[in-house]
Amino acid sequence: MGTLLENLETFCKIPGTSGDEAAVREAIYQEIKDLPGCTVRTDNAGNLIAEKAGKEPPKSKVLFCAHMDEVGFIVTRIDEQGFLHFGCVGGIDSRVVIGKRVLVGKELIPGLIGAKALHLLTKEQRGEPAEIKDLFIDIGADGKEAAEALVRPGDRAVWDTDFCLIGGGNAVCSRALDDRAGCALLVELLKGDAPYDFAVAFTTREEVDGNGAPAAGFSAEPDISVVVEATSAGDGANTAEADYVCAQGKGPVVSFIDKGTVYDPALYETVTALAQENGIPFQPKEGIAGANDSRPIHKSRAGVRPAAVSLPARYIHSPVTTLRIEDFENTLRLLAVLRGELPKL
Amino acid sequence: MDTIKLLKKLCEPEGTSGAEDAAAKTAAGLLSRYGKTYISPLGSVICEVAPEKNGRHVLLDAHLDQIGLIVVRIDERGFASVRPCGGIDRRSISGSSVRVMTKSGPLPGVIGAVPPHLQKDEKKENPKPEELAVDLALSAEEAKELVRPGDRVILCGRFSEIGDGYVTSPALDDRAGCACILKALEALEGKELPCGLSAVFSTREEVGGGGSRTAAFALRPTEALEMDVSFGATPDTKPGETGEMKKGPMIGFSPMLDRGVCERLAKLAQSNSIPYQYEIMEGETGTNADEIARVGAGIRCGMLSIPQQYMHTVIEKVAAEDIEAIGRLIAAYVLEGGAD
Repeated sequence: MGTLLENLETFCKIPGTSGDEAAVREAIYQEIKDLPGCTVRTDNAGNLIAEKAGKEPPKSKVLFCAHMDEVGFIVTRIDEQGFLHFGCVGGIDSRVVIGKRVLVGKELIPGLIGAKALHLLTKEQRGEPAEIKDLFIDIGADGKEAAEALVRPGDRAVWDTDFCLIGGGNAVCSRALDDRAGCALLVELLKGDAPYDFAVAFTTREEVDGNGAPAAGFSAEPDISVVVEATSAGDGANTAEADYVCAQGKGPVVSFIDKGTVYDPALYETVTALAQENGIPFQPKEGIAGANDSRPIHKSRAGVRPAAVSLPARYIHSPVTTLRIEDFENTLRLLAVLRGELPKL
Repeated sequence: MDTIKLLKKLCEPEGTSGAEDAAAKTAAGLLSRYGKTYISPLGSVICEVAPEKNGRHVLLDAHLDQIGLIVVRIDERGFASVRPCGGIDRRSISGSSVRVMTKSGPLPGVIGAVPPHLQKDEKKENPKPEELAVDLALSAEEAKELVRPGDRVILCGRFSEIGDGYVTSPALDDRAGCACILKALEALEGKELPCGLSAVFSTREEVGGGGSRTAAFALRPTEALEMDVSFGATPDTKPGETGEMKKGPMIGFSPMLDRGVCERLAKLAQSNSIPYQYEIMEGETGTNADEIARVGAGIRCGMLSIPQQYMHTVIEKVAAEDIEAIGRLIAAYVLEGGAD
């Protein structure tokens, strides 16, 4: 059984773009299938749902939720020269694509995302972001036939970046921290004794409009949902404080609104009060940006009271997302408190 | 040495313009068996293989330095502001892992990107040089302790073979040129040379060509061959704009190059059944050949370019067989050469 950080690394290294999460699901399943009191199933949308038996039945059933999928690429066409043309799965800015290594398909064929040399562009063209349709993946195949022996249209690709620590161990840097970091935390939450029964959903297709979570919200029948997401910390270089939305090093991010969901005000009060009482740093999400699986889940069945506890991550949807270890650990502390308190509501 | 092994050895040490020491050390180790090898005042590695003979002294030049970034200041939140050191492809920088080469060793960091969720509704542009900064995940105090303005920054990449006989690495421009020269020297080893011969792995090409110019002045060759990378075809290039991968050396024709040397190279490629293609430039070549041609009373220059894709990114890519073909053509030129 992996520790929190070992699981984070293991999960991040597995390619799993939206709709193609099987390998991630299997890795999580292996971690949780033998945990005491855990009953685990996979639904038709590919969500992995764990029901954890606690010491007592809850007054409100709480569903904690993290998504397994990540943004990436999908091969659309192989041309006569053997280059792969592709589209993006999920929201990717073309400015983090050129000059990056990728791994293509189940066999993890190394590829390069190229474009014609900068020298061959006019001054104006050099400033314009490329369009994804004009880019291509080069797997070093000489011609269509050679490429087709290795890759098919529909194959996925992810950035080939290392999982590493930076800042002397202050932060992790990887692709897919959004939301394998949430997955690793919820695996941890399933370990040990729980005061009340609760459920965890590891969902699919979040990055393509939250299309996996509706099934999980329906079948888990929660009263309360807590979505655990890597959210955009806007405190990178050259940004004004007013644009941060949330910042690293300030603890879990608690949302009252985002682009997908207006959160339950009483639940927001409860979550923030519990953080304060337990001496856990937290920050409100100071801006309306992004959306998560709360959007479909809160509309499940007769309605689910939504809460979101997010991880402030910089540079999400890029090959080098970063997350502070202290924020990661403080989020786990808050989730452990919520596991004990929210079922009482 | 096997071409791919040779390329790996040359590409692995880091060496941005003006800070090529590690790359120079490896290169000097590879050159020293062929002649007296030493480092010039500007850091170039010079190997004197044979003294001038029959009025000819051929200089083979390729550059050692690779593009990178340089730290200019540490800001109040611990980000290291960086600027290009050489013409780095600005489209490829966002979302990169980097290593800051500090006095106490390499320090990992990232150059981030504003995620789509937080982008404002404004015209999107590729990052400008003045906007580049490295996130070290350190406080300002910690960052200032470890990183100094002037430290170099390398975008992380790695050397690997890819597909059918290609290699990719951040430093192929122009360690691939160095490999061509080493392949030629290997082929010439033990042969009676009809001319003098020197090899230079020069510094600072990406920032003005000082390394080759000064080495050429010191050596006073009668003619020089420059080996550098040029543009290889991709689906978004037009015919005539680039060379073809695996079609051999791109023999340069340019007002800066000596017509006789160039013609001779083409003839030798033909007579030795070495595949070749032309690279026609209407002005300067944009390589060290421009610098070397202007040294002293002038040096006759020829140029053999290696078709390379994705120049000035960390995924530069060349075909091993093109390197080998250029090595053979250089050797043929040295043995039978002299301009027409």
